[in-house]
Amino acid sequence: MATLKQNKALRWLTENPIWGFCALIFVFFSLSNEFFFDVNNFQNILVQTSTIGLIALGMTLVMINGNIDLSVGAVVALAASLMVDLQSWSAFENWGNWQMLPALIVALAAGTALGALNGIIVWKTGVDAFIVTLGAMLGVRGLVFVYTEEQSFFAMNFTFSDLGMSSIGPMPALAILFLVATVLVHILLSRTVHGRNTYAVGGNREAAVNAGIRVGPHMVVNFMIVGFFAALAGVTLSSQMGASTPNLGREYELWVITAVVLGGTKLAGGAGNIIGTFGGVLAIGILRNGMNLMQVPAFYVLVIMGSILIAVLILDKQLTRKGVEALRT
Amino acid sequence: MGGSQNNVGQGYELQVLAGVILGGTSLLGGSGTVLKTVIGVLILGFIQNGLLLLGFAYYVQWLVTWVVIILAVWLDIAAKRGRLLSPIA
Repeated sequence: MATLKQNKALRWLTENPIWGFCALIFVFFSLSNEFFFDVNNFQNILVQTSTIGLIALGMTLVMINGNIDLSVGAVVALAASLMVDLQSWSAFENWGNWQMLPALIVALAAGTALGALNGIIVWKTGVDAFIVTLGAMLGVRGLVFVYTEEQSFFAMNFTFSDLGMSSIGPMPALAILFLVATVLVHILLSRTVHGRNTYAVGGNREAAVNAGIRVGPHMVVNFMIVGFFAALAGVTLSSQMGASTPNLGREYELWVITAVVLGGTKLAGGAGNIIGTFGGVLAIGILRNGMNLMQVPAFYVLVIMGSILIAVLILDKQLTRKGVEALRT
Repeated sequence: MGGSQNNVGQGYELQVLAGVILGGTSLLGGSGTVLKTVIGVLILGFIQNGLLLLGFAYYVQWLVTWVVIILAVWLDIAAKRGRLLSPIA
């Protein structure tokens, strides 16, 4: 019985190797740094990674579909700018703290709409999602600059920045938001028809079409989900700072894709899950936080993260090849 | 520039890719020529230079690049498959 349980745990670990890696670096930083193993620091890591983590949840769906969204960083900036600017409009002057509500709605709607636009272009034109969202990455950043006229915005209502720093009980609000979103997307992906279809479309698009899945609208919905989460990340990021700049979120798409790929999602689509993505997000969070605490300069952190990503991809390729050979024989 | 900074070339990946794709090189490999890439890069260069000369702010060229990239690749694909819209339901 004991061996069976052990095997189960071992098998789970081979399916989600990122959690083994997480445990490894967790122990390493706990032993090598006196400031790392601390509840406050753990909360810190969750808040710091919540921005990338929220986007990674949506990106997992899109990447299991076999698509990719490179425009999330620009959407983060757009949502942050809308959120901070709209709430100080004179039209909402007498709304008190409710002036944040229309800003929130517009920011989230803008992200969702841009996701829908990307999805519809991918669906109707048949152009690869990489090219469509690469263009959108430039174009949406252009929209941000046109809208902000290269200005930074500052939130005049301090309740807004207080919200980003607030805690519910012992947990920071942003950490709770991230964890709740993780659970919701996990349920969406593993327990619903939409989630089942996501794997089907990514695994074999022809077969999915023949099975009667409306592939186009399905992909649009997933693009809308990632757009929504990118906008949500923009809102939380701006509430942490109480401000927004047009250059916010640059290179976020790279961090997000790194986290998702570390979590075991295949770039070609058809495989991946939210538990892995959560592990990938945590791994990046722990590495950045731990290396910061050890006073590793920021540019070494980039080199190390890049090396780890390449190592994981090589390892993944080897494992998949072994799996395919095992199937053949 | 007569000098160098540590973040020189940041964001160039996209410009380069846009130029190469505009020249008709497939992301999947197997098609494309250097000469067409030169033309693609020149087209982007003309657009950016022209927009600046017309007095638009430098970020307007990003918006135009967005539209140009997607339209170019779309028309290329549409010509190959013989119909404008993708047959995916």
